[in-house]
Order: sequence, then structure tokens, then C-alpha cells
Amino acid sequence: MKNLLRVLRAEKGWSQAELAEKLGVARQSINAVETGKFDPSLPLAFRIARLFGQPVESIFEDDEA
Amino acid sequence: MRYSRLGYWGASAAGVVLALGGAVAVVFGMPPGVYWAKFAAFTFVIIGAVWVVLLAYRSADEVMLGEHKTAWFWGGMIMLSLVGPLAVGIVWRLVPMPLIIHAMGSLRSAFHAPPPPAWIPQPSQPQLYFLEGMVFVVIAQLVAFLVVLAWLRLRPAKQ
Repeated sequence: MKNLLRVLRAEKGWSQAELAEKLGVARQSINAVETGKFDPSLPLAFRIARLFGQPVESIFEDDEA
Repeated sequence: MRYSRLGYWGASAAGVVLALGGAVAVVFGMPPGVYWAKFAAFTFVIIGAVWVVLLAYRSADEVMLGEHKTAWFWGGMIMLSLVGPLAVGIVWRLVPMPLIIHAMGSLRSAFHAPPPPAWIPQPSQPQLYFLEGMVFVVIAQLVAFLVVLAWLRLRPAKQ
């Protein structure tokens, strides 16, 4: 699954550590999601979407879609 | 579940220290005799260490838990698939016993463990091989777990 997390984070001017703090996860976890190594669960995906004020499907894109 | 660096790493370290320190204290610190008391104390130490490690588990986030599950599954399965046939080969005498005995002797001399206190009865050879076999499997799986975990973290980015 592809995502725009790195782009959205850069627009806000947040570091990975700051975003991790806001989401309650480890900084390494933000890196894993941004690099596509790990697909977040639905609850975490919705937390990310709420934080950036966007729908989930505009942040995460299915590879097969 | 909310990630806490102090909770995760602190509880992990405390669990390891409690398990190892407790085991050493029971073996070397308790007076001779009363084996049931030592057995109870050792069991208490292990249960305490597991409880502390569970605290670490609760402080981890979903990415860390996912990595650990994947690493245990693949690391454990791969190493079991290697150790399992080896065990069958030993039992069926397909692996030459001198080779096994030589390998175990090399392993023993590689780890210079302190001699146990005098009150601990010397294990019989079958007991010794059983214990060493258990330790070997656990260490082999732990190594495989760490290898897979390192691969998960160091693999190239997908996007």
C-alpha cells in the first residue's frame, strides 16, 4: 500500500518524532509506514487521517487499485 | 495502546535483569538444601520477569508488535525446520554421534560458565544432554528471531 504520509508531514513541517508523539507510536514506526515497510491498522490509519484532516483514502492508496 | 519509550525499554531491561539476577541469586545466594524452596523462589522470579515483560509488551506500538510477531514466526519456523530434521537424524543415527559429541564439546568449551555451587548435584549425562539440547534450540531460535528482526528493519524501502 502506498501512502502520502511523508508529503503530508513535510507540509506541516513536523519531524518524524513529532508526528510519532502526536500519534502515540515510536519514531521508527512512522519511518516504517512512510517507507511502505508496514501497513498501519485501520485504527492507526484513521488516527492519521483525523490528524491531517483528510479522508483515509486520500492518504493511503491500494497498490492494486 | 500508546507507545512509551521508557515503558518499553525500561520494562524490557527490568525483565531481563530480574530473570538473570533472580536466577543467579537463587542459585548462588540461597543456602544449601531445601530444594522445594529454591524451586519455588526460581518459579516466582520467572513469573515476575514474565509479568514485567508483559508490561513492555503493552507499551509497544503496533508496528513493533507486528515486527516481533513476524520475526518470531519466520525465525522460529525456519530454525525449527533446521533443528527438527537434525534431531530426527540424531535419534535415527543418521548423523554420526562422534560429530555431535565433538560439536557439543566445542560449544561447552566456548562458553566458560562458572561452576555451579557444590550443593547442586551433578546432572547425569542424559540430563546434561537434555538440558543442552533445550538451551541449543532456544538460542538457535533467538538467533533466527534477531536475524529476521534485523532484516525487517534494514530491508529497502518500498516507496
